[in-house]
Amino acid sequence: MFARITTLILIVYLLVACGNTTSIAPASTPVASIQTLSISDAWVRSSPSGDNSAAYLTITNSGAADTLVAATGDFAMMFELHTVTNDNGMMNMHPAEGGIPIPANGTQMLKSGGFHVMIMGLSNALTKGQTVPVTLTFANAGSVVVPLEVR
Amino acid sequence: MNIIRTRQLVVVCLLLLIILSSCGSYQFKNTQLTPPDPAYEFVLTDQNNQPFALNNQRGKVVMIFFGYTNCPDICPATLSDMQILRNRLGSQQDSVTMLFITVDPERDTVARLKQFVDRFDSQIVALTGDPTTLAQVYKAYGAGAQRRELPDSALKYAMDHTSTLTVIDKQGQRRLLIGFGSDLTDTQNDITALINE
Repeated sequence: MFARITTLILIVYLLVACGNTTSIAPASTPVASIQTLSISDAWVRSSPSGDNSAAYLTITNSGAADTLVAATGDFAMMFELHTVTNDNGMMNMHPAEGGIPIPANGTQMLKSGGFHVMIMGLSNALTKGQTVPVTLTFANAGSVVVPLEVR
Repeated sequence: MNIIRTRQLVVVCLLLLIILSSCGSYQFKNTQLTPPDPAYEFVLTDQNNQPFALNNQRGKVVMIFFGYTNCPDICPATLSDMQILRNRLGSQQDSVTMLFITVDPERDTVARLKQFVDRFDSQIVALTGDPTTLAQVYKAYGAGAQRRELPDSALKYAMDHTSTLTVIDKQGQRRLLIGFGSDLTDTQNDITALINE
């Protein structure tokens, strides 16, 4: 009986060892908030002066649906809300028509390969560790300044 | 009783063997091309204005990514992943060649390509060439490379292109396709397995 249990434990252990381990992502702290919206994990990719970059962030909404309609800032010539559609691996990047929807009591992630803030013509180089402000304007909630960490 | 015990032991041993052997044989996490096919050969120009021939890379694993330097999202994200991957490969990084082939030769000059890859890892080889040669390469690797006018955007135009990386093994066979956003550790394991073949 003891031998059987030992064998069973051994088998279970081996099976577990074969599998992949999962890690839990730490919850990120909001860096800005306005009304029912809070913004976390806000960052922009480091890039040389004159070049393009992109900003990413997570918007958590504890209220009614809203829309992110604009992003503005003074560290580059142009800020545009863009999206990328992935058609069987073929990436089509284009402006996000009508803005970026923020679902009611939900989360919208701006991330690589999806919605993002496209930044064109940087006035200065963005260096890792630096923080730059971007102003996000929502249809209902209004405007909020969000510090972007340069990564 | 003894016979039953022995049989049980044999069954248990066989079971253990099966489990252990399934641990040993490597299962690729990204999409495998079965059967692998010979990679399309090309000669293009690198960021140092030197000719680059794919067939000089036999014995190395080659990763090919198509993109353009004005691309603000997908291309920097992928090159950043390539840089992290090279760092993680450590002493094996010289066994892998990473290629970034432009789909926007009109704007991506050799100097511009050099500036772009240097932001990530100067060991990434950025390639351009004449339109005819490039068109053949795009076709062979399913790169797409379609110009999309963006009249309402400051970017003026974007290039639709595949975000899928092609991986060529040490024998020059196309082996794996890596989709955008694939887990980097999975990719690292796949590349290491191809290096160790």
